[in-house]
Amino acid sequence: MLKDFLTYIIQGLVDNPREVKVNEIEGDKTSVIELRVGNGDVGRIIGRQGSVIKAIRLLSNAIAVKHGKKVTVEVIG
Amino acid sequence: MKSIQLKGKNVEDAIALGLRELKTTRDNVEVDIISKKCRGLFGIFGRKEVVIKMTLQDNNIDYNEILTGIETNIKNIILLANLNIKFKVDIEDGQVCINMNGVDAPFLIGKSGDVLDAFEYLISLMVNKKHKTKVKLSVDVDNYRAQKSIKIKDATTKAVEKVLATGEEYKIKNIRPNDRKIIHSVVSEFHELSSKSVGQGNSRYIIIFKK
Repeated sequence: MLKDFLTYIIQGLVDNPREVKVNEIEGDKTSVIELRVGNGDVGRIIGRQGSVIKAIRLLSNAIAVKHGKKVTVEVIG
Repeated sequence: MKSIQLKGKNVEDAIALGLRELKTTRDNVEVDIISKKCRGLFGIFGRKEVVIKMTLQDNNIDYNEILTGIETNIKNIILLANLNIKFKVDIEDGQVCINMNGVDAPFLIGKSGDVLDAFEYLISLMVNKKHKTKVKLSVDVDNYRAQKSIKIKDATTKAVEKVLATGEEYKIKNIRPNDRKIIHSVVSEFHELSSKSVGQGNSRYIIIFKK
């Protein structure tokens, strides 16, 4: 659920939507989500002083909490 | 797109000349500096000359296209996040306003509006990337922002009264950038008072003081 949501958001932010790969490792309470993007796009999803990734984490955590879960979002470069 | 070439003593001069000729403002033009040279000895004697190219930007943003784009974006996000939210998109003085309500909408506010700020930031990045524009977006849930701005105005008025009575400066901490703007605008209505923001990043705060 969060995987599709994040894929959609990340694809809207990067230059190469095809290279976006989102991997969800589900746990009982906490899920870990790994984001992989094309070489030039890492900066786009991190942003100046991490502003974009901070927003992504806040929003996905809010939605995860709504569905009774917690989530950790990691960028893998 | 209309573009003209201009010569001037310096860049600002040339831009001012061009704006007069095109009858427009600085926001609507793009300026390329073509050449910048000093004739004469060491650039002290003789003529300085700058040539610039000024292009009138196509400022008629197709709002209808952007609005439908935003609508599909938000609709997809809400669908994928499996939330029960209704929303409405409007334009108010050149700013796109998105108002959401529904059972799940309060989850998008977060702690003192931080999730709402994050949502607004991400949506505006997505929309402006898709349409190659710089449209300002504001997202609100159940009039949360409107109510918050009223609260801040009230708190500021109280602070102002305190400063006027005691003459001491008053600090307001833990305020977000947009909210600081509200405080400054409230304080600016009082001629004998002034306000300024001090500090960096998250520890930035406002001081209200007598001039």
